[in-house]
Amino acid sequence: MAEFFSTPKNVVHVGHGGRAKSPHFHFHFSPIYLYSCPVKAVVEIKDLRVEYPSRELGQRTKVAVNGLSLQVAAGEVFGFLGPNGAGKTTTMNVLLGFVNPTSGSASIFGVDVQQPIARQRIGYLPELTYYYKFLNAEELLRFYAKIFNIPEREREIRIDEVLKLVELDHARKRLIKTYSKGMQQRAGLAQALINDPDLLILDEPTSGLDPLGRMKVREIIQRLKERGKTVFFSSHELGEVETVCDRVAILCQGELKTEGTVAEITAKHQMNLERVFLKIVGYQEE
Amino acid sequence: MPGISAEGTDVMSKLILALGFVSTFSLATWLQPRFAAMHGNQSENQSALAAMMGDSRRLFAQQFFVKADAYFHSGAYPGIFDAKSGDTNKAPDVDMADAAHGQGESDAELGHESSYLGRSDDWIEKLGRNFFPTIHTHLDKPGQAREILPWLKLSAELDPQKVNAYVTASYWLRHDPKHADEAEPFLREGLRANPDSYEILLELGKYYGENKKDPVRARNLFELAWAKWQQQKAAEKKPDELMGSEILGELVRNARQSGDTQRQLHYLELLKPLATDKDSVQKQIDALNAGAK
Amino acid sequence: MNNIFAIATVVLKEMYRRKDFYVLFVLTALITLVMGSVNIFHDDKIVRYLKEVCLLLIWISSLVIAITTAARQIPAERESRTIFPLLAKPVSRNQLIVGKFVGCWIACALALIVFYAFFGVITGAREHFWPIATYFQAVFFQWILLGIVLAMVLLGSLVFTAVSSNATICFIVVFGIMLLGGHLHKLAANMHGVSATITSVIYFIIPHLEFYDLRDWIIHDHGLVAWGPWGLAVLYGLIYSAIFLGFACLAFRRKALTL
Ligand SMILES: Nc1ncnc2c1ncn2[C@@H]1O[C@H](COP(=O)(O)OP(=O)(O)O)[C@@H](O)[C@H]1O
Ligand SMILES: [Mg+2]
Repeated sequence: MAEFFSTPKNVVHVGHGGRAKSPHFHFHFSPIYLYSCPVKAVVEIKDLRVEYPSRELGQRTKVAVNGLSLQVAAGEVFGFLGPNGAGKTTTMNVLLGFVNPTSGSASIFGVDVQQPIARQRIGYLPELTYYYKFLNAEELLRFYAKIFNIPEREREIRIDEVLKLVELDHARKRLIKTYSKGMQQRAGLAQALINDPDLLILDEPTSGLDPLGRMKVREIIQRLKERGKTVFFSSHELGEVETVCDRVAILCQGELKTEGTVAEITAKHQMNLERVFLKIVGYQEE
Repeated sequence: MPGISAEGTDVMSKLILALGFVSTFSLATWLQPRFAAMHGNQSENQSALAAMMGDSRRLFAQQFFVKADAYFHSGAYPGIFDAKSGDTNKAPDVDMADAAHGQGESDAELGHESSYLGRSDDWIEKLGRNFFPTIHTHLDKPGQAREILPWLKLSAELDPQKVNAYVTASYWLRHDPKHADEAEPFLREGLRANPDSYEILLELGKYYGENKKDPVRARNLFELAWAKWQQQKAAEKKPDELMGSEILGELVRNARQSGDTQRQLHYLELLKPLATDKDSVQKQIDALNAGAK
Repeated sequence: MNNIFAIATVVLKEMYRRKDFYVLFVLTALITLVMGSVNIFHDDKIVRYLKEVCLLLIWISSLVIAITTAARQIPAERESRTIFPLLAKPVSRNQLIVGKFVGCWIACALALIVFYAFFGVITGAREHFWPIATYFQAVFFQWILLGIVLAMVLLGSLVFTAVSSNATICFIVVFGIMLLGGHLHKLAANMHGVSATITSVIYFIIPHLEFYDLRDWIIHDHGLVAWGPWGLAVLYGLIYSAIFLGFACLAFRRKALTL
């Protein structure tokens, strides 16, 4: 594993060296207008409110996200923190158009999230996904690559690269149903990277992984950041957030509690990030 | 992997199970009587099958008998909703059996669109009629009638009391030179299950008379058939009058062939009250009497 | 178009990597062969009942394949959550539905070809008679019917939550239409008042699946179906498939995708 991330050569492989270095890669599918008006905020969320029909009797709705406003600037790694049930996944579901906001709006690259074209430059890793168990990793990636309309020659190169990156190269012909959990998660990461996205939305990318796997994911995020990608990821692992994030936001019960760089937050609250987090989620220290 | 895919497999396996059940079931209905015959203790085995299927066995038997009739009409056949189908249970029996007795529908009806359909009321019905057989034909080209035999055999195996199945099958078997000899064992099988059936005895008599040219045995069988018919009449079981007259007709013919005028007269007298055309019977009697003098 | 075929390809892959189809085919072939070897009055030329049995099994099997395959597509995507990474890519929900439909439909075509090839060999060996054009009409008709059924099931999978209830309901509806669909107007004629009106409205609304059943036609060698009405019925079936697919897309469009 280490050899992958220590050799810069491999890093270049990750995504053809980014947008600037491989214009031909984007050429095939990116509409001009996405570039024609350079937007600073890659992700923009305004006054977002999401209500679900309640599962409990008596109550009519359950508010999952309430009045959330966020901006993620191009090229930054943004950590979206919060305890379980805070509304992180819901926010991401809105960004990807799976859930319609009750009120408020969200846009990606300046395009409303309802438009399918907004998703051309996104890589998304959902939490806990079981990929098509009758396919092998190679076929899975080929399928997703076809969806992105990546031309055939390009496609096979990308598949090779991405599989090497997540170290599934040896298992590429094995059916996904035979994969361990960590391998499945890496297959998920591979599919999120197949289109060389400019924005990565990762929903708890490290959950369920062993320490080694976590470290690897962290390193991948680091590399992507170095190459100018924007990463928006959710987590409740404070350690990893502190090491890789430029900025963090802490969400609790659907509401934004605090936002800023790690340094800003620790300075403001006069305690380390873990304490801040615990205080926000309501944990009382003796 | 948990979840839907498991559930999907679940539905699938249930359906396969159902299909498998249906097929084993139909296989069992085929095989069971065979084993029963092989082991000779038919009654015991059959009751096991009967217990398994209950009365539905009869229903299936009737269904297969109807199927045979539909085959006889090359598939152009009224369903339960068609105009002429008021008496679904009776119509097919009569139709195919009529043909078996050489008095089917008039030939004028054949080769045309079947009359049971009536006028089509709307475009859906009109379009639909292009896709199922509506031309009225009978399976009476040489060798074609064999196609209905499987259903009759199946019907008889499911319901050994289904006398019609034995008789109709025997008619078609007897009229096909290649199969004539198959009629006898089949009729005997029917007779074992229905020892009092005058229909089967009559058919067996015809087999000996017409196919085997053995008037003596034929006569014995006809007489037995007549005796059974009378027994049923005495027991107030309302035997079929038409069948009664047919048995007597055969007896008359048999007597005529052997030149026994006395016997001929005897049966003609018996026939008179049953016959539909009493005058012609009377004329025959008169002619015989005149000839005797 | 590209997306639709990519999705369809995955459906096909699933189809041939699962055992369902093979099980049904072997079952059909086995039962037909057993029935064919049964001795009926020592006549080995009897063929129509064999056709009947084989066609019945083909019909049941193909409906089982179509309904169970289509019924699990969208729910399986949601349950295993693969729908999220998929829809996070530039795929519209309509493309997903249509892709699933196309995949299932092609799968059905392949299954039908295999089934009818077997049918042709078995019956042809007995009667030395291959009415290819009629077989084509019958297979194509059945394929059109399966198209309607697939679209109906896909719509059902968005309306009913459980796969099994959707599959069961669709089976009942399909068999109901096959048995009664063509007779509803006669039933309506014997009714009075509101129920008569409802029955005839149903009669005119439902897709008349019974059109596409050419089994008796094949069994009794009635020759070719007139091409004019045949083409009309094909068109009729395509329209119904499109309508059901349209409704499925509508039902899917505003659906929140969470578990
Ligand atoms: N489909 C749903 N229906 C009703 N409530 C939901 C649904 N999905 C999530 N919720 C609720 O919304 C809240 C936020 O959930 P989620 O966004 O998944 O949190 P997180 O990802 O931060 O753990 C939780 O209280 C959860 O119970
Ligand atoms: Mg979550």
